[in-house]
Amino acid sequence: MNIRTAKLIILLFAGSCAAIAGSLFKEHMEYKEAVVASPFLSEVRKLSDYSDAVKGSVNDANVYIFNGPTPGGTVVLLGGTHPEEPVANLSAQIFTENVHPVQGRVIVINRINTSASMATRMGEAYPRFYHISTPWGVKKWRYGDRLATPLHSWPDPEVYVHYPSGQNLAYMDVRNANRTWPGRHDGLLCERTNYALMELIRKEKADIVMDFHEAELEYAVENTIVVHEKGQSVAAMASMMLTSQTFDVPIGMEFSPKALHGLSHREVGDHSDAVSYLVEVAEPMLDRIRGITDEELLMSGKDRFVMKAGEYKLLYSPIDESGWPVEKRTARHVATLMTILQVNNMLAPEKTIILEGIPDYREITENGLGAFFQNPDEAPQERVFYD
Amino acid sequence: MDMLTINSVVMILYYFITTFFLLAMVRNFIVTRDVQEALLYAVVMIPFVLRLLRLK
Repeated sequence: MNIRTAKLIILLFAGSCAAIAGSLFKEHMEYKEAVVASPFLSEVRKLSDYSDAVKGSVNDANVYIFNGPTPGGTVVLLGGTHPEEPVANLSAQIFTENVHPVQGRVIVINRINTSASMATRMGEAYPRFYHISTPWGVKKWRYGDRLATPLHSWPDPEVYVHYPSGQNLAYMDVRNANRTWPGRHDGLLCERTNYALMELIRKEKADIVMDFHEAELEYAVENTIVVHEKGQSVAAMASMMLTSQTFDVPIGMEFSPKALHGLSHREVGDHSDAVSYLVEVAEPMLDRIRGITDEELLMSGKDRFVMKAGEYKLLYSPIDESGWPVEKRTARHVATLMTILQVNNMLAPEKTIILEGIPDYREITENGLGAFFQNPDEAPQERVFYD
Repeated sequence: MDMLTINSVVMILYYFITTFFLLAMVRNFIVTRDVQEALLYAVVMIPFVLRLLRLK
């Protein structure tokens, strides 16, 4: 074979590889997730309606607003801060698709860092999508990264200097939507996103802000509520109620460190009247010592390598053969928020928020998540949106 | 000048650098007489092409 023929074959091979990889990346990036809002939806706004800092950017998210018939408090739910933690956006979407506010208001953003959901973490071989079976078919979501993709926010600084505290953080955290609170109008993508979210929280006079997360079992902040000091009594009571009455694995409560900046539980509470909460649940997929990294691990939370680490007492959360299935993780987040609201209603009756239509812990773990997502093909089109 | 503008300028420069190295590899691919080297250049070009197309 002469060199020209060999080069032609090599070019065809490399071109095919680039075309296949490119089409897979493009499909992931452009896939839109259908959301069927609950019949009690009042309006859908864009995040840029609150600040032009995100206008025209990929992070100009849908803001789903549900107003109850009776005045009360306002709760803002933030999903998708870190899109490699899928239970965060699933929990938010459970509210978007099912909530019936009887008193007060609910404002939900299913994905606050859309950019990070459009590419997975480089070098980790993450699945691009995850799927949940429903009575009407299979529903699909984008899996993503912890950070906004460099395609939308690049280059990173040598050292990320947090605004306004001046604290030095790791360079890549300028693309981390939970290190850039309270944000700034003329900053980079995540700083602008969080600035717009702060404007939303202030303009809508939010009383409670909940940021949903997941964490690796090797990480100390696990199965817990992290709360700003303004919400300590509510979080403590909610933690005790959930641990004694609902959860098999206890949920703790931790104070937001005053000296650690950029996180929602600290900055939202400091820069608005709202009380900020952040909840964590165990996700074995995120552990460094995991085995095969695939959708099965993401959804079942079963991994024998992580279990082995547990046997050697190297983890901050228990794990056994039953793993940490996505239903259990989501059910914990949903139940935690509902209990926080219940306690808050007792302690601040003038800010009462009463929500119906939300499945409880047992309903989600027994029936699965699919039972609580609606079919976008059969729903009235005025209630179907895409994130 | 705000940070976003500065970043955009740096990013545009970065795409010029990516194009430069891609063209250098194309040139090397054309002139080499070694099949193994040609394969190496072709494989290394893939991420550069995907980056220029803003796919990864």
